[in-house]
Amino acid sequence: MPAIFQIAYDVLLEARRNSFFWLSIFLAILLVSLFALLSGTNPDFHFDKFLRNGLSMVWLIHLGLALLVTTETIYGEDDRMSIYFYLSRNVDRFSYLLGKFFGCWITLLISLLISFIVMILAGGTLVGFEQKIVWSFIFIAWELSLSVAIIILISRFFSKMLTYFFFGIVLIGSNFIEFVILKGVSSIGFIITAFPSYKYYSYLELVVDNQFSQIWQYTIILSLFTICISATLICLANIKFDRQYL
Amino acid sequence: MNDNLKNILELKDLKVGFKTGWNKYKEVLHGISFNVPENKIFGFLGPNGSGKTTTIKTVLGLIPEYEGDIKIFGELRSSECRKFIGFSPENAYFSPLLTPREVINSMGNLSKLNKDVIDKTGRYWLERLKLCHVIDSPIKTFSKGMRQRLNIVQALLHDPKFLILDEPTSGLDPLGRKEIKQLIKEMRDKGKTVLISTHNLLEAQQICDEICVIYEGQILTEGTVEDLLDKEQNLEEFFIDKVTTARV
Repeated sequence: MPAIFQIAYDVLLEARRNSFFWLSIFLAILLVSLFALLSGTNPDFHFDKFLRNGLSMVWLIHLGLALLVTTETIYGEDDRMSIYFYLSRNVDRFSYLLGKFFGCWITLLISLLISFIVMILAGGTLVGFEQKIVWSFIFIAWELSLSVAIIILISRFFSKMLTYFFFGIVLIGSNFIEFVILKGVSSIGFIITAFPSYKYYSYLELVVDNQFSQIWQYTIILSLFTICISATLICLANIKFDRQYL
Repeated sequence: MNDNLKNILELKDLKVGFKTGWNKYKEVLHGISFNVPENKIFGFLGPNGSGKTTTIKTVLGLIPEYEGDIKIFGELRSSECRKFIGFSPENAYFSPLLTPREVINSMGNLSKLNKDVIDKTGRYWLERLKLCHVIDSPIKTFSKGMRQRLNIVQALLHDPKFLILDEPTSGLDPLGRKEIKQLIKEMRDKGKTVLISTHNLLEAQQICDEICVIYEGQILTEGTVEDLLDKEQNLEEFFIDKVTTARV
């Protein structure tokens, strides 16, 4: 097995026994089920509300989980010095970082997939199968990929607490920029948000409100954009990591 | 030192420093040179902060920037050389959420061993170091000694030609220490080369063929234990004498 996959697999093994991983899945399922129940019993709580609230919760919980899983695996290895076991073997630092990136992302995808299965089942019970949920799954998955890459990059420069802080800044900053754009000039704002940005949550809103035309093209552009940006961020992290004294 | 022996590790004028602040640089190793001959147990001794671990980390590539020459198996330091090195770091532990079986599989795969070899050698070393009964228990339930023994297992897994053990008996009880010392001697008898970095001078005297004393980033002395020590002198007295003289 190539080193990248083995390192990614180790992250998965660790996550499997991490209580936060199971807690986040439990929370996501619980909230999605609650919104489904609310939507089914309360006529004022329509399917779109179920979708918007359910997706918001799944997105938020997984963003938190991304932060926890990634910092835990990166700083955990540094603190325990178990990074030596990998790098004293014939494993280069780029493979190590890439392995960590894929491990964290796949862990999040597994948790996300479980949440979405529940969402599809709950949504299916309410209105039948809705394509919107599948598109939303893809957008959240790509946003998580970018989040993991950003956290890995920040973690190579700063301590754990500062990584939390700066990731928060990135998150709040991107929300703020989007808010200013949307509230300031709405017509231009819509065009700008249609372009890929870190804030993929906008796409969920567009999907929920049926404002999204040419969804295939957008998804392809978004996927390519995410792959390029994630790879660039990991490469930048590696430039720093390669010079780091362990 | 017997020049007929091939050197597994050759350090020549090795200098390593760290940035300690904005525009501040502290040199930790001031041009050290020594050789680790093949098929010997080489003791790398020195007080805390003398540069032992820094030297080992530089050899293994964990410290990327250095001046001087590092030759491993006669070739300049490269990631390829690390295939033939087994390293057991001091105070480093695997994730508490993993089990020894998972650790062995992971380290075996990273060393490009096939599954049968991993199973066979992994089980052998776990049995040998009395960890077989906890093969599926999470490491968080392990004592310090058990974690240390697992470190040694992963270092031996790929049958390396050159073993680097940083404080190998740290955290072990007297019985465990005896077993590890026996194991190190056995490795030497099998033709392997062992570099041990240790504070335990009595142990070093018991098992090392050659020693090298480092103090504040400089080599104070190196040679065979017999050549360096007077008849009545033990390694501890010799070490204290050397370090005190260096301080003066």
